[in-house]
Amino acid sequence: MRYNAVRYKFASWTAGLVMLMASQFVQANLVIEITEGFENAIPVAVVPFNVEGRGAAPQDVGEIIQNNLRRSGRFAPVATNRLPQRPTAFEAVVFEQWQRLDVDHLIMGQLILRPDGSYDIDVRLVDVLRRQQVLAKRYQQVPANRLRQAAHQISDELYHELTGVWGAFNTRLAYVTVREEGNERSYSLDVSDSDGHNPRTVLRSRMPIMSPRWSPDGRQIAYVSFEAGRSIIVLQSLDGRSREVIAEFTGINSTPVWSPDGRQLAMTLSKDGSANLYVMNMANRQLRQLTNHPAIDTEPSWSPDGAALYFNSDRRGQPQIFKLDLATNVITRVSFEGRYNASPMVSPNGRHLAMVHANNGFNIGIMDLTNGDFRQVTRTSLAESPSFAPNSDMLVYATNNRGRGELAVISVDGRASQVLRVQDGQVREPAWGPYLTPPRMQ
Amino acid sequence: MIGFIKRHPYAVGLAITFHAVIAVFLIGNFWSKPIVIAVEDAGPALIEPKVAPQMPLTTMTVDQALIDQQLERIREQETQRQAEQARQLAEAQEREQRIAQLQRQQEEESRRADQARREAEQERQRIAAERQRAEAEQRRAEEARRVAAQAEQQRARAEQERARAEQQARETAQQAERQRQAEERRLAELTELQKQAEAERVREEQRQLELAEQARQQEAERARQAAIAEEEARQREAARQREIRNLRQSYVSSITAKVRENWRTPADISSDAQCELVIVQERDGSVVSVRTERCNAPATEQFKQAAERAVLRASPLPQAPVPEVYERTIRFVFKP
Repeated sequence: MRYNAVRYKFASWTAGLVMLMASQFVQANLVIEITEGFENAIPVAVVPFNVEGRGAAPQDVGEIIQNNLRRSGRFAPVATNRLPQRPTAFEAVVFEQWQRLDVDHLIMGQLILRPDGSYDIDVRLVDVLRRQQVLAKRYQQVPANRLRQAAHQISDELYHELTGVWGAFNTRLAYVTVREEGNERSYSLDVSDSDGHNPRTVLRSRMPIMSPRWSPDGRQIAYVSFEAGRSIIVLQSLDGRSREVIAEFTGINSTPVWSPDGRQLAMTLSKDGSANLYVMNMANRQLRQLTNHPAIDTEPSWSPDGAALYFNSDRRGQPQIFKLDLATNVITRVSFEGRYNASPMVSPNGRHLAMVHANNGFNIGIMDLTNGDFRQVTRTSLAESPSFAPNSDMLVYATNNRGRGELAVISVDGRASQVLRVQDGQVREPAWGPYLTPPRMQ
Repeated sequence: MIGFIKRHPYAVGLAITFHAVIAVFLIGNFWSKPIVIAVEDAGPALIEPKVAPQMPLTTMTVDQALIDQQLERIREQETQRQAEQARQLAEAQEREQRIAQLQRQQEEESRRADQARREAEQERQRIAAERQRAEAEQRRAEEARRVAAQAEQQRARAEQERARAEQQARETAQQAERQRQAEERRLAELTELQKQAEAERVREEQRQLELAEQARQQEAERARQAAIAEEEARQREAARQREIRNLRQSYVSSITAKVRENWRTPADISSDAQCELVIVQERDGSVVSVRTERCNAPATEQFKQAAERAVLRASPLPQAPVPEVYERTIRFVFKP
């Protein structure tokens, strides 16, 4: 009973370890299925981006943008074959035609091949009704193999222009894929672009891998591995050049979480008997115990200012969310909705607190930290491991579809969702990574 | 005395003549016939007709009536005189006959007279004594009478004086009374006049007041009527304004409704966001331009642009139900 909250994570995995350092290993794409969009998705037209004077580009930037916008649930891109014209300059836009198409915005642009083989990308966002060019930008010297990322970056900027919120397209997801290979299971820690493209396996193991967490700079991932027959906390760089076990104490070593400034790593250790929260100084690996309670204190999540930790504790009998003020060590209870609330995750903007909420199964609940309002945003039977996108607008969580583990992305207001799945396995333990290119200051 | 004579000249003349005749008679008797004691026999001598000497007329002023009267009287007297003369002539003839008879009788009588004279002398002496005694008695009585008369006169004078004084006093009193009464009357009249004047003044004031009141009431009535008319006009105007306001409200509501129908945005907009939309439109509702003003803090750029797009998408806007409510520039607060 005492270990209910983490039972899943401490399931009886006793098999041996097969670990692979497989950063170059290419996996099948994570397939994304949009399951729910905004009721009133806004019609938008994205004119295909051609290379000036040459035709098609190696990456269809326009299509990537179009898919990103569609995936957000907020936009309904018009099919390319319905476009009335394909202008590349603002002056060439025939507004009446676009208005007849009931399109609010027109996104157009083109690639210009540079002598060094890289590309400049011109992008224009046109308000069809107001007949104004809202955005016109040139992205310079983009290598051909970075065109996709550039398209994500452009999507973020367009999304920001259209919604006021930075997109989270130019980001990556980390997740654990489980595959059945004969009688054996294999586990891999994978990283892909937010749209499921470019998946790469950073760790392959015969033993379970859990709780991957991104470092704020996106260069490292901390995770829990059972490769040693018990849980240890491992720090691994994404470039595959370093891998370090930083916690292998007796008992539980779990749920590592980077502080927002990246200088500390909070974690759960039971080296002294009961599971308590600790924080490790990343500069000298010094540990500091934060809580000391016979109950289980686990699953810490930093407040954006690094001044507090939200965590899960059953110190009141049932798992609930508490907040530890790091300056005063004062612990206050945060969640009161229902008998079970676990896996707290504070949104990067500090406004929302996501959690696993037990109510006819396990669902994702979101509390508005500004006013305490609580809302359940999913209707599934088994949701776990919520993780916010860096724009705080969406979150990814693991769910189970007829015994098959997959990932789901949902907007904070619960109106849009999509499912990410792999053909040949199950995916779980998602972690939404930081911006690959930090957005410009707003 | 002279006044009395003037007033009664004939009477005076007659009296004088009478006295003169008596005097002459007495003197003649006394001197020629020192003793005449035949009162019964003295008749014819005494009644010797004598024309009354004409008295010089005293000049006086008379009026014509008097003159006529006198002239009448004179004529009457003349007539009487003539009749008298005729009578006297007859009488004179009668008298001459009788004188002759008398002379015979006188001779007879002269002899009887001598006899009588002696007896008379005796009687005369006795009468003289008697007369002296009677005279004394008369003097005494007369003195007494004189004293009494004097006293009476004095008393009468006093009485007269008293009466006069009384009369005077009475008259004075009466005059005073009359004056008083006159004064009273005058005062009364004056008072009455004053009262009348006062009453008149009061009436006039009353009248003026009534007139003023009337005028005031008329004015009030006029004002009331004017106010009623104004109120009615105001109410009509207010009703019209209300009607127009209602129409305008429903007009603006229909516009905001259509704008709201056309509202869509991919952005998450705070429910607190609001802007004032300033729309310039043609009469047919087609939007010429739109801009946002006076937006509050939650109104992001995305909200402003989306609101403007909603207006542009809603073009043409609903047309004004009546021309009065059409406004080329329409403003309203828009919230998501």
